[in-house]
Amino acid sequence: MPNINWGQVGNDVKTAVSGVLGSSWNIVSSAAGPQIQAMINIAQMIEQSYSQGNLTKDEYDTLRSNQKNALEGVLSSYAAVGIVVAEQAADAAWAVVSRALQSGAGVAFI
Amino acid sequence: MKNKLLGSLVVCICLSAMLMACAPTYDNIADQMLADTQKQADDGFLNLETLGHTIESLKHSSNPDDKNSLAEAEKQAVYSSNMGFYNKVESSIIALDTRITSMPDASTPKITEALSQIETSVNNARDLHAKQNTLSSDFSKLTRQQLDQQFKALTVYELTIKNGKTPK
Repeated sequence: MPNINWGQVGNDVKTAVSGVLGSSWNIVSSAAGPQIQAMINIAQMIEQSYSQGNLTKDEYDTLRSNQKNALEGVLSSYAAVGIVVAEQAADAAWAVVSRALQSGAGVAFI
Repeated sequence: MKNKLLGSLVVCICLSAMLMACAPTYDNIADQMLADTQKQADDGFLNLETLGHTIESLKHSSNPDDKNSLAEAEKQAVYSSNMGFYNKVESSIIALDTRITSMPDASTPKITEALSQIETSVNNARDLHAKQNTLSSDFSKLTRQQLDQQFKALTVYELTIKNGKTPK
């Protein structure tokens, strides 16, 4: 498993999401912040499980695809966040996670 | 003067009616349907997780009793044995979506979008189950956790409306 600083990834994802949400982030951050962190924790467990050989490649790919889908669902449930913006925020979040996985450092950010 | 007052009153009543139609309203039946759908999905993936654990722990055992338990667990874990579970969850999501869209208010597009994401996640898991025929315990556990987060977001939304507050 790549040496990823998941704490840093969590911070980077929140920064990416808040960058897309703009002023709406101030309204939803107290509720959405812990949920985003929970999604980061699940992402970490997916990577650990795959690196330990507990997931097939197809299972890994499906879980990763569902992660972005789930984050989009979580963000779009907030009244202050438009559906299209939720999709963009989820894309931004997952760009951070993907970059962290590729670099193995977990500190890359736009 | 009287006509003006009457006109203003009519305008106020119309505006109030429009606002009430737009404001998110609590629907206790939809709330219960949401809780039931989450429980169905949770129970199903928890069952698959447990079966996965059983299969993974017994597959290298040479004990005859373990072989019987393994065969039984494998029989219950294959896709054909779980089609009913996926059908029920999908049916519950459709019923909930129908309930919500039949009384549209400001929250309808948000909730239907979130429900659509849940449906996609369940269908992705179903497609993979059909392709592989079995799922690992870790996959079932992680899928359950992802779905829990998605359901939690909707539950928070519903509870906020129930408590008379405006969702953030």
